[in-house]
Amino acid sequence: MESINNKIIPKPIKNLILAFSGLPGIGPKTAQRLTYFVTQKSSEEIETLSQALVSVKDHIVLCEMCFYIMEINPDKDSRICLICEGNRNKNQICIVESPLDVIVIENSGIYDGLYHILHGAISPMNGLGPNNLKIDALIKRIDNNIEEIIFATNPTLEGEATAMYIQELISELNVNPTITMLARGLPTGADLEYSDFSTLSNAFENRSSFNYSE
Amino acid sequence: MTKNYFATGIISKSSNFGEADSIFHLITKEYGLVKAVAKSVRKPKSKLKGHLQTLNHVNAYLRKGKNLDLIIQVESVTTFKSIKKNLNFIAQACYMTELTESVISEDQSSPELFNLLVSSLKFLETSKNRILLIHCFEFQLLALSGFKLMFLECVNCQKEISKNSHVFSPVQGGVLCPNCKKSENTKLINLSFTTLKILRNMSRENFSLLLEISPPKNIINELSRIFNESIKELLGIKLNSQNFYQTIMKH
Ligand SMILES: [Zn+2]
Ligand SMILES: [Zn+2]
Repeated sequence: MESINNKIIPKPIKNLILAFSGLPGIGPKTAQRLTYFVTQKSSEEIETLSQALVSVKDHIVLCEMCFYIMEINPDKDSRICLICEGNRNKNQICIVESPLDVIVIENSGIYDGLYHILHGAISPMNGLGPNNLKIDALIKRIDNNIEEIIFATNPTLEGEATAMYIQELISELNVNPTITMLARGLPTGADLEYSDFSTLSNAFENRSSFNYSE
Repeated sequence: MTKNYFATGIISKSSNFGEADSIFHLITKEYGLVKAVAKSVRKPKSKLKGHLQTLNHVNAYLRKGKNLDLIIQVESVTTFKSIKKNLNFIAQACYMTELTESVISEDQSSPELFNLLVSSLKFLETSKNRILLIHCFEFQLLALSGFKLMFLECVNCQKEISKNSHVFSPVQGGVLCPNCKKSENTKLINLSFTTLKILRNMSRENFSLLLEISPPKNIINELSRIFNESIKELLGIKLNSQNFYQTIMKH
């Protein structure tokens, strides 16, 4: 990014460009565009934006049960999200990598069980191991009431290695849920986040039993 | 002026970039480590992504860029399917791949390192006994990186080592004779006779013989320690995938 070292760019602008470039999905060009957009807005509009940013950090936490993102309720001690609390099929857990995957699946309306969000996938070469994910908490959730565990991790080496690892841990428990994984109507390597409705509902309906152990 | 080129390589790493692009690291035969972008590859319609999976062996057509090169076309030569169905093999494959990436340079053809990695991955996929594969791989990789471990003669004075002096210095990268051992003040590892025998066979490049034997656990532990320490001392690196490898092995 040679342009950011340019002497004629004021320092506050450079700082904001750098801050934007740190966001996922934002390349250097988009970071510059966003920055110039901000400079043209009124102080009030920027105030609203910055308030929204701060408020996310102050009011959003992870559900203690499934690790989905949720708003803090000051009237309640427990941090259980609307999905976990809701009137849903509590015998099913669908395991996903990110909260965005939950939103995609929820928008499609094809699933009414519970979720567990791992917040990543095992990626040995990037230093992301099982301990960096919400795996221990998942294993603690699995008891005899759970009838089905659905792996909806991404169809990548990382997503599948994660599913295999968790499946091995489950097999050591004294429980016997059906273990399935989404049908690979999803093209290998595609992010769940980007799948359209028909692909996703097909993947759910045609999910198959999952067993990697030899 | 654009410059297109062809390369064959193993995909070692990927990370998301921009709205739906990803950056891939390829360990190539022709140009060493190549870092390249694939556009829109995270969208389901992308024709590239199925091929661009970690550990795939691919043929790629690329365009030279200012910072990052661009992947124009790619097809997989092999996806190492059997490796990817077994967590233990994934862990070993990731370790070997990351170790190769850590010693290979950018823009410098390294056919020997590339061939070592590919043949080791193929061996991991097809053979029945893989116990000494990692250590044979480590020995050869160190040798290709200019650190050939010495097990036949004293690393210090080149004298042939006697039967009962079995001590290894990771800093020096070899065994020491009783004389040199006395004056050595770096960390030393005692070797059992069996371990030394295995290591001497490595020095003689008897890899096919070594890949057939199944030494007991305590010998494997000794070998692991020797190579871990040597890699740490000689290459000065700590690998990300090593933790995962150890977790899986313990499991
Ligand atoms: Zn929840
Ligand atoms: Zn000596």
